[in-house]
Amino acid sequence: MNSVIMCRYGEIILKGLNRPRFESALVKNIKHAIEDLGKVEISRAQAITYIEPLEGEEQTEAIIKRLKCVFGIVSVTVAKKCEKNLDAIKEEILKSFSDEISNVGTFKVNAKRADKKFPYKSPEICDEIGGFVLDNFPNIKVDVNNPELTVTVEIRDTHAFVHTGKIKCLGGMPVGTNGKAALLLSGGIDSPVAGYMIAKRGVKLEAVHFFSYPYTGERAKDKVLKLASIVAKYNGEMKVHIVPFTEIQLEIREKCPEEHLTLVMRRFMMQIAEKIALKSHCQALVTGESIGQVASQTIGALGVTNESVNTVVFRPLIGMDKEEIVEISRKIGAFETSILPYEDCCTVFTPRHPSTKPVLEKIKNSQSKLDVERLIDEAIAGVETISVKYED
Amino acid sequence: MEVYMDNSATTMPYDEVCDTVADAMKNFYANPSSLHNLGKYAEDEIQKARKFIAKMINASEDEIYFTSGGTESDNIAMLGYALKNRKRGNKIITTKAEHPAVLECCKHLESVGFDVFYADILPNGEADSDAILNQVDENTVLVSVMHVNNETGAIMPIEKIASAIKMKNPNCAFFTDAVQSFGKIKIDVEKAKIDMLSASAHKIGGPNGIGFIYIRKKTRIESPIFGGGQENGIRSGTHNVAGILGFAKACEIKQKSMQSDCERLKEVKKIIAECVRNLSHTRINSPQSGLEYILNVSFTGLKSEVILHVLESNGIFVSSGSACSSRKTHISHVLAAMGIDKKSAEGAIRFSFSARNTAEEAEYVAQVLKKEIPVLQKTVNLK
Repeated sequence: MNSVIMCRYGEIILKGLNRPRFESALVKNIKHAIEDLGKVEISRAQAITYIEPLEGEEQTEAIIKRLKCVFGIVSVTVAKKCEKNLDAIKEEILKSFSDEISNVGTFKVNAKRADKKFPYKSPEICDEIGGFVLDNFPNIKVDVNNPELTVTVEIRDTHAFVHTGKIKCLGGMPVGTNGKAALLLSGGIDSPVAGYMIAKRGVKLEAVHFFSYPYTGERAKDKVLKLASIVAKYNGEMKVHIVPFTEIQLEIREKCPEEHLTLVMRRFMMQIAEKIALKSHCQALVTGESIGQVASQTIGALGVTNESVNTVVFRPLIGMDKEEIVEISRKIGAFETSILPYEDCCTVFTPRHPSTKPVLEKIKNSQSKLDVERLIDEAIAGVETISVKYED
Repeated sequence: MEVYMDNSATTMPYDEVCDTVADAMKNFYANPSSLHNLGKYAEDEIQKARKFIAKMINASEDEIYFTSGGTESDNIAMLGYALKNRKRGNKIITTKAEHPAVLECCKHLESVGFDVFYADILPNGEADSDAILNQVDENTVLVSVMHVNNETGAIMPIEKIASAIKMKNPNCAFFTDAVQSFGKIKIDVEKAKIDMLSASAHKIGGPNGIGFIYIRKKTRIESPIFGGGQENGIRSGTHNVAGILGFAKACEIKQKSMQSDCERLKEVKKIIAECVRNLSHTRINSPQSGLEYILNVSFTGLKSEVILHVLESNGIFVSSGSACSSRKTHISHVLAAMGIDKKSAEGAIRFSFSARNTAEEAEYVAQVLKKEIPVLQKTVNLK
C-alpha cells in the first residue's frame, strides 16, 4: 500500500511565527477526528500534513469523509507515493492510474518540483511523463487548456507523489486555536448554523440549552442533543449545558406585562449563558440571531438583549436571510433534524403582541420585579451537563 | 409509583404471553409452510390458536386469517373488498371517527374513483346510525363502522347498523374495526351480522405485530398483499408462529376475565372521571355508556402535551388527545367530529386501562391531578 492523503491548509501558512502552533493544533484535531478508524502514520513537511492509511481502501475513504469536516484543511488529495525518479513515477502511473486514464479522451500532466535538487525541471517532467502516457494509451490526446484529467506529479523532499485531483474541504482555522465560546443552542435552524460558523474560525464551543419541562418533553431534548452532535461533527466533542428554565418562565409570565415576556426571557437566557461561560472559561457568547427575523430580533430588541451581559456576543447570522441560513443548515446536515416536529408547547410563553420597539428601561424595570439573582442561581444549580460526540 | 394508563396504544403483555412467545420461538421455529414434520408441528399449533380465537367471536376457524395487526387487517378489508366488488357499485359509507387505518384507505379509494360518505358523529361520540342507514342504497358496496372508538371509548351500535343495512341492501358488506373491543367485550359475528372484522393482539396483553381479520365465508375479496399464498392468499408472508401463539394465550386469559375486568375498570374509570369533574374548566369527552377501558377528558385552556409531561413526571403514562408542533396544534379528528370546541380539544388527555390497573392507581392519579392541574391553570388565561 502506498496511498497517502495529503492535507493542505490555507490561512495557517500566513501565520508567521505562530504557524507551528496552528499546525500542531490542526494535526491534533486530525488525529482526534480519525482516531477510531484504524492505524495511520502522520507526518508533516512543507506545509502539508501527510496521512498514510495502513489498513486499505475503505479506511482511506472513511478518513477522507472525516477530514472534510475538520476546519483548517483547505483540500485533501489521495496520492500514490513512489521513489523520486522518472521510471518509478511511470511505473506507478501504469499500476495505479490505468483505469482512470483509459476512461478519458484528453489529459495533461502537471508537475510541481518542490525539491529543487531534482535533476529535471517541471516542464521536462511534463514532457517526459506526457509522452509516456501517450505511448501507453493510444486513444488519448493532450489538451493543456481543458483536459478531462490532470495527472499531477509532485517532487517533494523524500518522495514523489502522483495524483489526479484535489477534494475541496472546509477551510477555516483549526478548532481551539481561537479560544472558546458558549453557543446558545435552541432546537431550531439558526443556532447550529451560528455554531458552525464560529467553530470555522477556530473557536471551540460549548452549548447552552434552555429546557422547559413539562412544556417541552424528552424528545425535544433529544433533538437538541442531536443538533449538538452535528455541531460536534465540526467542533469536536462538545459539552451541552442543559438549564432548567421553566421556573423562570412561569415567574416572568406571572409578574411581567405580556408584551415584555420574550425580551425579559432573552435577557435571562443571556445572563445565565454568561455565567456558564465564565465558569467554563468561554470568552464569548454565540447566538443565531438575525436582524428582524422575529419580534425579539428587531434592532431595538437586540439592543435590549445585548445590554444584559458584558461578555462579547457573536451573531454570525446577523446579516443573513433565512434562505441563506437554511442553505448552510442543509450543507452541514442539520436541517432535517432542525425541522423535526418535536417542538414545544412554549406558546404558553409567547405573547400575542410582543413589543418590537421595546424601551430598555421598561424591560429592565419588568425584569427587576423578579428575584433575578435567586432565579439565575437556582437555574445554574440545576444545570445538567452532557458531553456530545458525533457518530456517523 | 409507576402507573401505565396508555393501554389503548399498547398493553404490557401478560407474563404468560411472554413465556408462550419465548417457548414458541425455541420449540416451533420451523416454517409452518414447510412439508417436513417440524413445519407440521408449528402448523398444528397455529390451527389450535385459530380455533380458539374463532370460537371467541362465534366464527369458524377457516374464517380467521392472521395478519400483522389492526392496520394490515383494515387495509385488507377496505381495499381488498372494495376493489374486488367494484362492479356492484362504487359507494362506501364510513364515519368521521374511524381510525386512520380506515380513513386513509377511504382516501385512497376516493382517489381511484370511489364515492365515500363520511357520516357525522353524535355529540356523545357515538356514530349516527340513522345518517349511515339513510345513505345506504343499491350502489353501496361496503359500510365500515368501528366497534369502539380508540380515542373516546364510545361503543358504536354496530349490531343495529349491520342488520338494518342488510334489510336495505343484502349485497352490501359490513366491516368493523374491532381493535379496541376484541377481547374486552363479547362479540358474536353471527348475531351481529358482521362480514369482516379486524383485531390486534397488543391491545389485550398479547405481543406486538400480530392480529387477525375475520372474513365471513363466501365474501368476495382479493387481498392487496401478494406472495406465497399463506392464510389462503389473504395474507401472504411467513407465519409469525410465536406471535400467533402469544395472541391465543392472551385471548385465553381475556376470555376468562372479560366480565370481571370490566367490573373492576368501571371503578377505576369512575374515580378518575369524578376527580376531573370536580376540577374547574374540564369536560368528560367519553360517553357515559362508553367502554370501561377508555376515559377521554379535556382540561380546557391547557395543552395536552404539557399535561402529559406533568403526569409523566409523576410516573403516570397517558396519551395526549392532540399534538403540539411549534405554533400549530393538531387537534383530534374524533373530538372535532363530536363538535368539541378547539380550546377543549387542545387540552384532551386519554387514560386507557388494562386489567392490571387498580383502584389504588386511580386514586393516585386523582391525587396528582388535584395537585398539578390547578398549578398549570394558573399559568394560562382561562377566560
